[in-house]
Amino acid sequence: MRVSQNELTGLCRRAFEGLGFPPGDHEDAADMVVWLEQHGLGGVDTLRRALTRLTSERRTAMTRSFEDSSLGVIDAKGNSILLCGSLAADLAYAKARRKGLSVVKIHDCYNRKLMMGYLARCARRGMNLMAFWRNSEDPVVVEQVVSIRAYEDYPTLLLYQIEDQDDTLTRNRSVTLIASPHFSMLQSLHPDPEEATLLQVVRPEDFERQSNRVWEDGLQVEDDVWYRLKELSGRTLVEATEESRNRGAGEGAE
Amino acid sequence: MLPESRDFQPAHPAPHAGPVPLRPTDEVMQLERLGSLHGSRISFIRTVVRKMMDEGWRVENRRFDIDRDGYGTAIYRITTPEHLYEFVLFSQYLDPSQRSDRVIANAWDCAFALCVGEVDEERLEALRENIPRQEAGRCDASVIVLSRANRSVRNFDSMVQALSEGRQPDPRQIARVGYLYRTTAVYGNGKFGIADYPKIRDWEDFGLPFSAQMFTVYLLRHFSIEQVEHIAACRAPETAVRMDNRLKRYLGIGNSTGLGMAPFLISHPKLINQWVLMRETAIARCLGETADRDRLDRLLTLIERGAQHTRETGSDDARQTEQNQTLVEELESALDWLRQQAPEERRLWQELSDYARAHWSLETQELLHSLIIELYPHRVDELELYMGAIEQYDLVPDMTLNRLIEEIESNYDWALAVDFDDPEQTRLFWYRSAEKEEPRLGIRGEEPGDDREMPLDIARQVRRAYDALVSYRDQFGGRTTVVEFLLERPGFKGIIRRVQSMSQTTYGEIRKNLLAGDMLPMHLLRCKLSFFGATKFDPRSSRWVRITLFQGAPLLEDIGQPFDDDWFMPVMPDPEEVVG
Repeated sequence: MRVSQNELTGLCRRAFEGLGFPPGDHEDAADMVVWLEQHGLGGVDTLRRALTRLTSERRTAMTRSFEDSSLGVIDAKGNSILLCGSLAADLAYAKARRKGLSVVKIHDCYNRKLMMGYLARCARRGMNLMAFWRNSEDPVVVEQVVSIRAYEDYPTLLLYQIEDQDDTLTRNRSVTLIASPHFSMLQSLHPDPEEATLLQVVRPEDFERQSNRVWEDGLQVEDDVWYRLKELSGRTLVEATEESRNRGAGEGAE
Repeated sequence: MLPESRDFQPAHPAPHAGPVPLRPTDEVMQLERLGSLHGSRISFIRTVVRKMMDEGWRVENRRFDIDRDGYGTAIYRITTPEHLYEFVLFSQYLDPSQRSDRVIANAWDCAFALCVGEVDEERLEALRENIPRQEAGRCDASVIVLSRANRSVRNFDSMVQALSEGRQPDPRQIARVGYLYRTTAVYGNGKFGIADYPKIRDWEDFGLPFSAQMFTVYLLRHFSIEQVEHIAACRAPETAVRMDNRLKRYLGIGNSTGLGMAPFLISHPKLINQWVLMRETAIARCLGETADRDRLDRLLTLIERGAQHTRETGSDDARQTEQNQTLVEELESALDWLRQQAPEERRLWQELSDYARAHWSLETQELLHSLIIELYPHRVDELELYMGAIEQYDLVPDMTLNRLIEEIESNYDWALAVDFDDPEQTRLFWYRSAEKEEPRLGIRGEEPGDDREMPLDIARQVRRAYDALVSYRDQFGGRTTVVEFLLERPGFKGIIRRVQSMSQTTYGEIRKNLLAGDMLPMHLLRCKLSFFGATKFDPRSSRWVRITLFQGAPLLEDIGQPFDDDWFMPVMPDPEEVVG
């Protein structure tokens, strides 16, 4: 079905609220999904795949495995990046603001590409950021590098197919964030075309074009995900009683 | 300074107020005061009418397939300097038993939409399938506003009857109920598949908040008048007359609004900040002006009109009736006070404002401010361009706990002053009802749902966050950063982000614990409606209100005629002159 961005955002927020995400996190998680969807990178589809895990598994709180003034390692304990990505990015931001550069690594997390939307939010606060991770997409490994300059709206994303099948990064399901207010990390093409095949380049102007298309036409979302999200958001609703109806609440709306 | 072009609305502009300081936040953002506001020159209906008149928008009746009973399809084409739109309306028979003010109703006398571009037959059929279904239908991004309305039973039939008999309707009846139709929802910003606001944000026509919605309501007003004239003419072609233009101008459109509107004020605090900031800036600019005789005379006229308008405002609500009576009496006192003043070389308006604060009710104080604003269009009207805001909320993760605690203590002292151990302070809870998902208010301990509260409890959230921050600081030190705290206590992220964001604004937070047993939701509704430009507040309970929009506004046929934008607080046309 065709939906507006505002509808999708509102529904995702309520669905995450229904899933027990705390205040603040359900807004961030929704915004991360919608950002990816708005920019043509399958945010809703990523969410669809995450929902099984999000709805069925008991979540464990992330922990900080190591930390000093400019380095941080977070163990996400197998959770979706939706649950830990925004605070990890904020940690990178805070350390970089204090020390000029920071590296934060999140181990053992899923749905890492959803991180991109939150990086854009950090960038608008004057931070240059880069994120790097590898997905095992059997039988290949896909390496993803995203970077965004301070105060810019859109990042650049590079995707490579990597031949290295035995990769620690992939097995760790980790994502590495680098942040600095002083300098931006410019991507360059992988130096060895034998090892890495460039699959896709998405430039800032591509992101912007896609975003404008969505404002013009709306978003296309599969019915089954939509209704699944509706069902989850229904957990936040309260059945009306005759008493509440008689009390005279609810006439009119914005 | 004005922007050179409207291609871009600044995110959070704060134009210069002049020599008079803005009123303190603690005074302005009290819920009771916000619930006493009146419309003003920068209310959205005023802005959109000014724009339409100044730019000479062309509105043509492109299709009027309306039968003798008023049912059918109407399409109006609107041509502005920037775009072409079409307003599409479907009018249908509604069984009187289904006529309801409630948002949960599912049938209406008419349903309509404002669309971008021309609506061809194929598109019209798609709209016909969906618009009358409202929430149950789906639209696309070519629709920018979706709405529906019910006829005023009291007015509609009797006006048709009068016109068909060759008589003008009695203005006293319009004074009692100032409209033929009453809307129960006016949807914009992506609801049910229609266009997201960012699509039109940079448009010259409808980029300002709620301007597309208000213009749509204005077009309904025009249709309502054409419709009663049409039915009267069909019913009695020999005797029917057209409605007198003075009566047409005195007709507005009603609106019935309930708790659905309340969460908006809490979830859009940057927008509310901007609206209040612009109103306060307008007040400060005008209070800083030196009075003169002409403007004093004009203010006297406006106050007399405001008093008369209020006398002609009826309500079954005892509290509102009493407030209206007080307002009239105090406006008469204001007239007496002003008539004893010599205006020259004085900041007379500031003196009047000070005197009002010391002697009169909140309603009178705020109406006087709205009327003083009328005196200086050149100082005020430009502020309409700054009514928008981008609702972005960013965490400041590197802020120290010391600094955050200080910000809470200085900006949220009103929240920290609430004793949440007192059950009366948490007597109410907000929840989202499964019935069309509209917000409602429950009584804790008596009604189900407090386990699924909506997070409108800003004061309580601040209190909890503050206690947790102080405890954490005492344990780990004041230089600990916010993000370090949140990694341990992620549940506070939402409220801390809000506190950090809103600490940079002046008027965003409504200073009231919205869970308190004595909290009147009506104040929230009225605050927002006053920025729309609503008049004739008629509360039906503490939780919903009927109001009137566009009463007194010029007609479409007035476009191209001299326009002095002087239709605030209209008074009833003289029945002797109109009816004879």
